[in-house]
Amino acid sequence: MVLGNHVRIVSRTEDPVQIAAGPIIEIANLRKDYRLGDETLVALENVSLSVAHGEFISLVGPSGCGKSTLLNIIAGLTPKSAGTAKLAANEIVAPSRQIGMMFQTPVLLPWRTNLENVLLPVEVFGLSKREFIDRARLLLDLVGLGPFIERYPNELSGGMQQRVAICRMLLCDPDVLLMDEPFSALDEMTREFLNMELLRIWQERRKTVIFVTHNIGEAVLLSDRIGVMSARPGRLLQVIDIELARPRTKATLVDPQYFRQVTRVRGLFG
Amino acid sequence: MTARMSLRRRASDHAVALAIIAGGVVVWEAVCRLGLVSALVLPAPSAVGKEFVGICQEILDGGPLRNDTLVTLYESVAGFFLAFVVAFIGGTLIAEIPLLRRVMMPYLVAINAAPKIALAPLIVVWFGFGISSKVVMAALIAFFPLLINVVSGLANVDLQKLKLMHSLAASPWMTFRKVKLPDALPSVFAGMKIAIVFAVVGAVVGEFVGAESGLGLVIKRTDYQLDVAQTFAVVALLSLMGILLFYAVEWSERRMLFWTMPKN
Repeated sequence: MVLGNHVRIVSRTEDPVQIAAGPIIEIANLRKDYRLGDETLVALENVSLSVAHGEFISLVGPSGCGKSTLLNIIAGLTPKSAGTAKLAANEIVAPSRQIGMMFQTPVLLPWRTNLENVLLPVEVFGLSKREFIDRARLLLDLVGLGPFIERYPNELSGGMQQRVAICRMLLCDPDVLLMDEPFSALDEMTREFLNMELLRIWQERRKTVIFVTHNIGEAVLLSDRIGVMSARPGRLLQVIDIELARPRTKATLVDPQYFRQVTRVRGLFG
Repeated sequence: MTARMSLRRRASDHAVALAIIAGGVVVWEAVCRLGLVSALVLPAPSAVGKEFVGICQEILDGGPLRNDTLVTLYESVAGFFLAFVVAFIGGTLIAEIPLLRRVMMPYLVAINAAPKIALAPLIVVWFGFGISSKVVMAALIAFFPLLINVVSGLANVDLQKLKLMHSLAASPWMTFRKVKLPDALPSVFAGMKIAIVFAVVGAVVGEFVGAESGLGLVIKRTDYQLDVAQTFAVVALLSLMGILLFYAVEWSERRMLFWTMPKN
């Protein structure tokens, strides 16, 4: 919408889709147990999943199915109990700079301006702020927050704050985006707007995205594939391809094919 | 709309408070004028007011009371800063090092429960009749509210913010500087607002035990001379000092914690 084809944000790698061979994320026989006193709670059992470069995959399931746990393990935030989880062929043991993350809440630091919030990863990584400041401004501009660059997060609405979080996630150009129900706390109109923003950004850059949601419509609209999960113990029941033409836009939401896909996914939950 | 209503409400609240205080003063004055209480026990508000004006005049004219006021002010502020530095460093270590927290917390709670005012004679023996023993006394009383608020501020940092820093693979020092410290500041300031008032109490208690100058010493002297009206006036002066110091801390809080303040 705002971003024409001729405007391209400089990417550190020329074209990640071509460089990569094989899956960027590989999960096999993954298991996660939590100990609660004498009892052991199985959060994830026998989960195997492989995600290709530039793929958009959603994880859908009831609450307590372990979809956020799976995301946290891929992010290197939570240790796994058994199995393998690899990022770019390396076992995941700690958070990686290759990964950008977004949460259900924006998690902005209220004492920093929106621009300073977007620049946080640069400071944490010990990179030069001067090199990234133009990029940060451009990103905020692209999501329509140009006039609010020097303002503080508490002057923004929830949807606008989440857009700042998107910019922060994208700033250092991570290869993989992990998004944990990022729009679930927003109203329907704002969610739809941000879904379109996300589609636009993904179309432009072809990042690998793992998107956790409990909204089937949202998952169908955004994804190449959807992983359907079940609760207690958390299992990946099946991964289905979404047959829906790209680029997807607002028009997709009234496409009969979109409804067929939504119905199909809904059917899997019985 | 709501802002205006709450403003009007606050104005009327102030009016009620002032009316209650004014009523109390009128009753007090009447009790004294009717001779129900001896002036040696309870001087009339008018007498106290006259003394207070006299004291203020003397301070402005550079009389001996100016020095006493400045000494007590210095002791309170210096004690507060001494306590702040020690509590900040100690509180940070306790909050950030789990072993230290486990080992030290029970003892700190025990020491906090001890009546620190009872240590005043000992402190004067150790640090002498000069200013330093009062600075130590002020610091001792101001220390614990600061320490407890530094520890609880750092221990209750928003977990989501910590998760964000973790996801960025931030070092512990980076997380402390960028998130924990600013997130703990509201709690630290809450401790500072208690501590600054406590520091004045500490300084005065130290002066009671033994001092060369200071408002505590003036109170002891006027008490000895049965000049109760002047004692009251000095107490009022000390209260004024405490209030001004409190607002100084609150002023810096407003400037530093701009994000916690309601807009407009």
